[in-house]
Amino acid sequence: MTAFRALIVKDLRILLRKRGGFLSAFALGAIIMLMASLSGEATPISLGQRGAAAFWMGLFMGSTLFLSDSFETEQREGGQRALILLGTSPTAFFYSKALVNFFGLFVVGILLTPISAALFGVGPSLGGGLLILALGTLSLSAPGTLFTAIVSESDKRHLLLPVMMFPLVVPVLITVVQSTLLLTFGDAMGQASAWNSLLAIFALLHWLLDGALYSRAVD
Amino acid sequence: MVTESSKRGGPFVFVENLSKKFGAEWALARASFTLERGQLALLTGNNGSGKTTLLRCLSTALVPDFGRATVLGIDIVSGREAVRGLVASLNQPPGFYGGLTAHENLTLANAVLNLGRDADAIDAVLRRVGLGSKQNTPLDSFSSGMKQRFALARLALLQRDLILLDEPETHLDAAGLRLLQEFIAEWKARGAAIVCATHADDRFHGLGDLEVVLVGGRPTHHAHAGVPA
Repeated sequence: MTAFRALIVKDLRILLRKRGGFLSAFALGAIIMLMASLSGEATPISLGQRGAAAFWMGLFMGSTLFLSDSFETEQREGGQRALILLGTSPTAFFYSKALVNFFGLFVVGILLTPISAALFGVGPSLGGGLLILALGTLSLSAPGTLFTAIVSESDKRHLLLPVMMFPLVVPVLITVVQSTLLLTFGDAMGQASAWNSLLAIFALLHWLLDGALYSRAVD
Repeated sequence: MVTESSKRGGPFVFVENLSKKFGAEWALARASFTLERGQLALLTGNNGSGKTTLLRCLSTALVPDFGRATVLGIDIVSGREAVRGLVASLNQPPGFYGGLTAHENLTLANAVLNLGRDADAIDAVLRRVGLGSKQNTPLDSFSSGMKQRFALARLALLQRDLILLDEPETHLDAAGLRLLQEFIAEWKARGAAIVCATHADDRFHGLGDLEVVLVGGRPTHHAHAGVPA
């Protein structure tokens, strides 16, 4: 078993055994969407336009709980620190953890989609929706993994994570909301591919740059 | 006789004026000693005397502010990655994943550190530390003593050249302490060098080759066994 695969198996095992972060991410995301659906006008168009922003804001806020829980397992008993001091590459830790975080957030996003459709009355098509969900969660999981590591030593990490991470992912959130709106309401001006490409660039940049910075955060 | 030291041109572990400051306080000041293969250095001193800081510097977890240390001639700062491949530590907390079983934790270490041990070797080492029947139990449900035994099992599996022990006697019962003494004797016989911070140096009677007594971060004396300080 390669080192990278072993680290992915480790994170997946812990994710599947301790579902607290997963469930709380889903619950917080659903609550934020519910609150957004109850605020403002209840006309179908207004609800539909709020839906995309509420979905991604809910998923972002939920992701902070999920990511904190994911790093808690590394922090509490010092597992990651011990393996790094024994010679494991911090970069391997980043990519395995970011990949499993992506998987977890993607599943949370899939579970939130029918709730979003029920609350806001509209939703993107399945194929395009999955693509945007994948690109959006890729763009959240990489900086989320890095920032969780940065704030992990602080007692206030649950508070610091969304505060520190939000400014960095604002461009991602704006882009992914635009992509979702275009997919939901139609793309009369042919802008969707530009927004989707921008989202893909954000994802790529985060996975490259955050991976390079991770060793400085944990070592 | 051509010793390893003479071939390398220096001792296995070389610590010279190693110092570490936290804020304005020197947690460790001018610690110096040398250690050869097969030797055990005991670090003793009260709480806050700098024992753990010294071990953390040697494990490359901390960068010293003054002085230097080498392992097999490799500087612990400039050659950090190489030193990490030679060193294994038992810290508090020991460093593992509580959500994984004992066997899964060792399988993970085996894979990520490319140790090349098979499942039988992992079973054997867990049986050796008395965790054979608990190897499929998550470490979260282990007692503190069982976790310490697990940490010993991992050290035994790693087979590193320099072993750093931070109060390894903590939480161990009488049988666990005998196991620890057996491991130390075996590691010494294998040629590993060991640095052990302890409050119970009498537990290692007859095993220690060198004692470094730290007071307020400063070594007051160090003596080789049988040699007056």
